[in-house]
Amino acid sequence: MCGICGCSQHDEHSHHVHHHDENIIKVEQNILATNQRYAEDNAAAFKRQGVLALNLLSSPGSGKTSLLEKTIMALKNDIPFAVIEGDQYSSRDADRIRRCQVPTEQINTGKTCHLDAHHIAHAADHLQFSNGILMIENVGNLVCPALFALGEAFKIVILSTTEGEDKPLKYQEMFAQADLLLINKIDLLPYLDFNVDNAINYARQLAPQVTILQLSVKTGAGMTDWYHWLQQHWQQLAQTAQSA
Amino acid sequence: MHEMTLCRQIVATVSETIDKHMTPTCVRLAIGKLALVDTESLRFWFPIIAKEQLGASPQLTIDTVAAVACCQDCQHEFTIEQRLSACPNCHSYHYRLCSGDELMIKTVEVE
Repeated sequence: MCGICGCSQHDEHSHHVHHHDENIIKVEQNILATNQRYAEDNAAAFKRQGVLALNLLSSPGSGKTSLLEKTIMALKNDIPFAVIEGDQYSSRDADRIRRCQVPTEQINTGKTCHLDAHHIAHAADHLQFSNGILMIENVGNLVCPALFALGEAFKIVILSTTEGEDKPLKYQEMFAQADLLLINKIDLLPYLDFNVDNAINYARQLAPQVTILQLSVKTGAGMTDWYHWLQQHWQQLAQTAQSA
Repeated sequence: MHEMTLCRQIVATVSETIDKHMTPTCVRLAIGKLALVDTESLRFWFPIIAKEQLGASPQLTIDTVAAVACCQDCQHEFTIEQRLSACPNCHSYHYRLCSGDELMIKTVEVE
């Protein structure tokens, strides 16, 4: 019996197979192929321009913008920074970052829940940034942004202690993709039932190779380790560019 | 929430694939079990976006691809239902996903 239409007669079958062959076009293409192409182009452009692009991902309110403000103010004399801010609406985050006097682009995604590589291509075009660290603050969302590569060198996931230690269990894809996990707001641990060891175990089960740092943007605790991580990867990029 | 975006991509690919005189009647997808896609949401958005951008309402057929992991420590292959899964043989969480994250447009049927 024909597996496509269910007919069983030989003549009819032949006829139908011929019909189907003519009328079925093989595509075999990834649905996200266009985004992937943009992401690859972005990655190649960042490499040419000596840009270390970092994709910052978290739920809303984890402290991404505060982390950026503090980091930029601490390191901007040593490392040039630029920032792409992704939010559904408003330019509040970009306004905050502009006060740090670094080039900033705000993307408002409107009806969509994530940044995609096409957004980044346009924003990077406006910024005309080279030889520095490009921080891309994605839309606060632990689901959709996991699906869209932007051309970043690393995915940095931020988990704040007020969200609960079980976030990695609930949003597994996001945590499985993390290159670096920052556990923020550790200054609040005495007041919360957040077990840091449990959070770390869950994250490592999903991403065995992930680097995990604990910090508080508010008090500055642990920020030095984060700065070292940035400096180390920035220097690696600069060395690779020099030897190329 | 991102299913609307995915539908736009699917419809754009269909539009690029077929000749102008063709009408798409069926689009077949292969979606991995762990592909982070709500297939019901895809089915909701697809006819709306197809009608808007193609002026046609092709049927949408979705084949689900099972998620198969290969343990990096003992090489055992096993089926998983979610990302957070341990190897049933050696209990390691260190595995490589062999299948299950597919987001493929397989075929377009036209008339």
